[in-house]
Amino acid sequence: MDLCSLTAAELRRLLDSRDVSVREVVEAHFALIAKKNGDLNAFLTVTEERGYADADRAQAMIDAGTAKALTGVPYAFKDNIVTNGIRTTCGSKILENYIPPYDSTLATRAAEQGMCLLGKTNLDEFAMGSSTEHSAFGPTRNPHDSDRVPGGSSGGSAAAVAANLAPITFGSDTGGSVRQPAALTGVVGFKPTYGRVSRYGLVAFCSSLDQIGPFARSVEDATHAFEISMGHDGKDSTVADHDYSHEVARGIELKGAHVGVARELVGDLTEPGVMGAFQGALDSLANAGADIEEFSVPIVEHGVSTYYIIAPAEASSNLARFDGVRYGLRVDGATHIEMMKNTRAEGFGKEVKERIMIGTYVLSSGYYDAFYAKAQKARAVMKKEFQAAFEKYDFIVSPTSPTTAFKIGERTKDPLALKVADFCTIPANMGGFPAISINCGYAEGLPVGFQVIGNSFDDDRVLGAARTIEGILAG
Amino acid sequence: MSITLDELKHLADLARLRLSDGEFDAMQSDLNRVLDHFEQLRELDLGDVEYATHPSGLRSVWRDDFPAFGINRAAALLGAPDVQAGLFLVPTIIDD
Repeated sequence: MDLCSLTAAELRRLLDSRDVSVREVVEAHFALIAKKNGDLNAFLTVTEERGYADADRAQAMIDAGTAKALTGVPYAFKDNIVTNGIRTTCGSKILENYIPPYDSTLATRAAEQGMCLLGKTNLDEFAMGSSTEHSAFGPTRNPHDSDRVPGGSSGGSAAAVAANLAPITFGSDTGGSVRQPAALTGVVGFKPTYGRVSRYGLVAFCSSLDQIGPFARSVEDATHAFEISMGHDGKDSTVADHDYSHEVARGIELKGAHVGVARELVGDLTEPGVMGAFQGALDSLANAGADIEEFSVPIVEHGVSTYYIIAPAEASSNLARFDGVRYGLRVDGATHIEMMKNTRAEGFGKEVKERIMIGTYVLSSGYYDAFYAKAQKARAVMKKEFQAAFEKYDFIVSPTSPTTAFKIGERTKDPLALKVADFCTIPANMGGFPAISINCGYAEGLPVGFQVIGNSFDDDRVLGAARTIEGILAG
Repeated sequence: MSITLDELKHLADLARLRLSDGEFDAMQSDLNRVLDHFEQLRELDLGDVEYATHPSGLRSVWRDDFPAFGINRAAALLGAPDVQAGLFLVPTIIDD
């Protein structure tokens, strides 16, 4: 039996029936990582010792009859999620040897479940990018075609799940960094509502947009992974306990559901192959009785600009903490200012430096109103227009990405080529809305993602709809 | 609106980044290309929209006020580049 190709739900059944042991499951995954990671570069750190220790604890829970939803299930974290005693690099040279002295809330929750940590996955440096090519430790390759990117910034987490190196991984989504790589690698990726999941121990990029979300090969697995992560922890003041129905998240009736297709999210940039797969999924939904209607949200055309002002602005502030004083790299200098400048010059990569500069520019006196304040207004309008749409529609759907996975190196020369392709995923971050990407077919052998966006705190309904759509598309 | 080399040097100073001449050149052209893209947003008339710097519009959620342990000193210093007498050591900040 190929244990690595099974979903977490299937593994759980085999573990509970004692057909396999947790050690066998974990061993199979480490063996596959050893075989494939040299080519894929999905993992930056593999945690064998920890993984087997977790396995023994999980087995004890199962044997004692105290197993939980994900006990014994292997998993991995994007390497910007802090793990006590385990190197956390953020894909950056500045944190190459950083070993955190504490656990993120998510790491604590996963340990409480008895999940088994396999390692830390590759990402664009500090999660800034859409291809995982901006990692200081080399690009991750797409399991469907090794000449192509897996998307990003959580490309390592997406590729790991797509290549069966782990049934569940976690990433972070600031402008699409979970959903877009999920689409480009053909797996499920979910960005919860802003305020559902604690970011304690997620290295901050853009605090008003960042959200942690899971990758999996089924909506069911993604749902379980999300459910262990949600809820108040006392350490992230944006997170409250909101209503959530486990039953709704396990599937909802789509007959008669009102589904809106935002014209601006299906733009000129959408490739014909992506359009074909998306249209096919819409037809299946219509056949299942959903009421599908086109509508317009004109402000979305300014989504990319809005995002690339707000995100660098917050990043320029958040990354001020990397100063060579308390942790991470230090490069000496005659004065403390020189030391900081030298440290940041050597520690940060090109993309991060550019975004810090853009952020510093749009926040600087004289330009603040023209850029930053204007972008915040556009964000407010975007949220309002989507909320108005949710008065009429249960869900808004779109392709997750206008293109399939592109070739490594194809878009790195033009600073805009990568960024403009984020227009489908950005609005959900701007409004704080929950959104999921599931596979809806292939274009020339490459996966295409279908995005479902819901109203704030309708995470259960978005997951439930995705579960039903997954079934419709499989049938 | 385009950004000059002098402006760029001032920004790099504010952002505590040392950049080489080659990096300044590349950055000037990249940043101007990105700023060009921002133009259409800048020209957009959004009127008197009230805005929040946060997407949720939620109020902050606090935990109960009780004493709790954070990270102890030894652990906090473990990753520091330089330490002396249980403190972070930095180059001279105030001259004699």
